[in-house]
Amino acid sequence: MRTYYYNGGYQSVYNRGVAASIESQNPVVGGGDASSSAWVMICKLAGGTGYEYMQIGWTEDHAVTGEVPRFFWECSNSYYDWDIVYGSLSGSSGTHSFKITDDATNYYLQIDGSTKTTKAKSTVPWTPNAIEIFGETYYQTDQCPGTTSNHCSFGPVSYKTTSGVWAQASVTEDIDLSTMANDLQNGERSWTIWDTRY
Amino acid sequence: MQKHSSLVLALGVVVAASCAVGIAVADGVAVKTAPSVAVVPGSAASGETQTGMIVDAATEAELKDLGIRLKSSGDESVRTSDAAIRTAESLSIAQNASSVTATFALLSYNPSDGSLSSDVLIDRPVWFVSVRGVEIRRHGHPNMPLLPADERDVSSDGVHTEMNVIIDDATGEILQMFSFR
Repeated sequence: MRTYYYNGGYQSVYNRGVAASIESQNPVVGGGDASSSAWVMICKLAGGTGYEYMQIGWTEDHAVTGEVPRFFWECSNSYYDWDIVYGSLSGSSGTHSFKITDDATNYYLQIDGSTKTTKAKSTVPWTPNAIEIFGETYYQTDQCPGTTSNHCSFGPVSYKTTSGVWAQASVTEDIDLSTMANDLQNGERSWTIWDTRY
Repeated sequence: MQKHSSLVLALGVVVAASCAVGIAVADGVAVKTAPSVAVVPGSAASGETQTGMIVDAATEAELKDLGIRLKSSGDESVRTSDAAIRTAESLSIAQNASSVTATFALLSYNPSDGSLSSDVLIDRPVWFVSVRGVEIRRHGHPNMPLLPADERDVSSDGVHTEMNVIIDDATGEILQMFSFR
């Protein structure tokens, strides 16, 4: 059965957006529905059901993207009301800017300054109270983004305050597997992650 | 080259043919189904709505949310529907699909309201391929990093069963894939 494993950080803070640069890589994933991804997210963490979030980044979802990373964005309001879009190839290397921001009426999910999707706030019945910035895999056999000689870089991470000002993030580290590693210290906003097996 | 005209009228022919295994092609729409699976008139692949879209109203609304608009084309396609279907079927998620349909269309993509920089396409000739009967799960929930691994249960999650693949008719490149149901 698919489980989910994480390597990165989060911050519980009411917000109107998040922004970070993340390096795109080409991790090794198994067949089936194996996956390795890296992304930024705004979500309702405290008091939420687990289904309220918007995220944007790159992913290798083997069943859909094969062995190449693609940009993706995924938005969810409930267990049944969610959508995912796989965009263009992200390239096997390079750093990209991922951003979720807003104005009075919409949320905008952007990559390298270009809007990929717009969500009207009238269709988003929840208030984000956390940001998350993670590498994610589904199985222990999947490679977490990054290798021992080529870490996958994250940051600097910023979030948009409820008053609309961009502020420096101060994230709390979370890491799940002994094969995962990072150099993230609590309170930092830039770090790298890697898989110790590669 | 394939000439695409009389799109709506041709759809009935495709639906009738789709009950058999294989690919039926008629004026811009191709359907490949497994045995005993048919495309039902009124479903996503079955016709042009009053607004000129080539999908049903519910799909049209979902596509609008994603910044996508499709309309029928009377132009010739560079690629065949068979080639478009083969491209979609190269995705491993399509291997157990109950049906794969391909529609030649003009894609316009404008995901923002114009006030922000955006990827914009206008009337790009594409193949809109719907892969149905598959299982698509979301990425992890936001509360998962804070839960023990053995409590990260997704068995009760809503699973999508349709993946849509947009293929550039000129290059054969997959421009975008998306799932909303």
